[in-house]
Amino acid sequence: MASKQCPHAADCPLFAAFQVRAFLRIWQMNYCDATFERCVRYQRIVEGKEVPLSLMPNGKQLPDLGAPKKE
Amino acid sequence: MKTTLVLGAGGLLLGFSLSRIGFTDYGELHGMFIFADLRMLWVFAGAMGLCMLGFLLIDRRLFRPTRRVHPGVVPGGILFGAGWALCGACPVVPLVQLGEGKLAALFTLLGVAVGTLLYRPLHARIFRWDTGTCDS
Amino acid sequence: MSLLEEYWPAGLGALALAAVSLGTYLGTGRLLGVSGMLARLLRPRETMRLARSERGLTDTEALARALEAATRAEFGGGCDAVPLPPPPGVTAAGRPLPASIPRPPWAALAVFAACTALGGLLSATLSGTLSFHWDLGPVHGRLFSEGPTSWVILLLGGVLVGFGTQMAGGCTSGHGLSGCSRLQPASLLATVCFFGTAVLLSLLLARIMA
Repeated sequence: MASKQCPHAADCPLFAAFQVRAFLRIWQMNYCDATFERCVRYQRIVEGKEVPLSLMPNGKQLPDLGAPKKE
Repeated sequence: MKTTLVLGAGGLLLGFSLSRIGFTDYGELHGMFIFADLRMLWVFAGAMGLCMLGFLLIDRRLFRPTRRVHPGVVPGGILFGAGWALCGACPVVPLVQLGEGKLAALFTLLGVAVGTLLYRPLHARIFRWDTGTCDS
Repeated sequence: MSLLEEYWPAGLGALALAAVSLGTYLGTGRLLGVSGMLARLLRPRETMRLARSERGLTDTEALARALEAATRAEFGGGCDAVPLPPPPGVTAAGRPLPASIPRPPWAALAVFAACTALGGLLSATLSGTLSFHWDLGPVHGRLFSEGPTSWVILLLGGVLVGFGTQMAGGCTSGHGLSGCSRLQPASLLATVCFFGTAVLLSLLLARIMA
C-alpha cells in the first residue's frame, strides 16, 4: 500500500474535494495515487506556473460557473 | 470587492510604515546589514514574533510545513540577498520609494520586473524542480 | 509629532508590519507575499484568465455539480464502481466540499501596488521630506557613486532581487514574515540565505569603500 502519492496531495484543493465525495475518488485512483506525473496540475507546478482551482487532472477546465451570487 | 479593499488598506499601511520604519532608506538599511544600527532588526524580530502569536491564535494548522524545501530556495535566497544589498530593495520597496520621490527607484523597479519575468521561462526550460503547491 | 519626523521605534514598526501581515490573511484568506503578487501583476492577461476560470468556485453546490459532470465525462459509469472505498465518515452523498479561496483579481493587485506608493507619498509628505531626486542618498552614493553608475547598480540589483525571489519562492514578506512566523523550514532557510548574503556583501562593500 506504500504507493507513491502525489507530493502535493496534502495542499491540493482538488485532492481535498476527492476526499469528501465517493464518486470523485476515481480521479485519485487514476492520477494522485502513483501516476501523478500525468496530472496536468502537477505538470504545471513543475513548469513553475500557477494552477487554477478549476483545472482538472486531465487538463480540462471546469465550466465557468458564473459570477458568485454574493461575495 | 472585499479583497480589493483589504489589499488597498494593507498596501497603504505597508507603504506608510515601511517608509516610517526607514526600510526604504538605503543608509538605514545598510546600517542594519553592517550591524551599525540594530533598530530595524528588532522591528523584524518583533513583527515575526507578533505574527507567530497571531497565527497561533487564528489556526494552528498554519504551522504544518507546507512550503517545500526545493533546490531553488538556497540559490534564490543568495541571489535575492546580493541584490538587496546592492539596491536596498525587497520587491515592494521601489514602489514605496517612488511615492517618496526617490526617482532612482525606477531603475530598481524595472530590474525587479525584468528579473521576475525572466525566471519562469528559465524554470520551465532548465530547472524544472517541483516548487511546491497547487494552491499558492 | 516626532513619530512623523524620526524613524519609528522597533515596537511600533513591528506592530504595523504584523498588522499588515495578519490583516491580509484575515481579510483575504491568503497569506501576504509581495513577490508572488508582483509576478501576477506583471502578467495581467494570465492573471485575469485565472480569475475568470475560478469565478463561482466559492459556491460549493455549483462546484459539486460541475465536478460530477466532469467526472462522468471522463470516466462514464466507472465512477460509481470505484474499487477505492469512500473515505472514512463519508456517505454516498458526501460531506460538504471544502471551501476554496480564489486568488485576488488583477485589479486588487494593482490597487495594492498603487497604495504602497501612496503610503510612501503620505509618509514623505507628512514628515516634510518629500522631494524628487535621482539618487538614493549619501550612503548609496559613497558605495556606488551617483548618476548612471549607480543606476546600473540599481538595475542589476533589481534583476537579482526579482530573479532570486522567484527562484526562492518568496521575499521578505512571503518567506520572512508569513513563512518564518509559521516556522516553515523552507522560509527559515531562505531567510537565513538572503539575510546572510546581504550582511556579508554589505560588510564587504563597507570595508572596500571605507
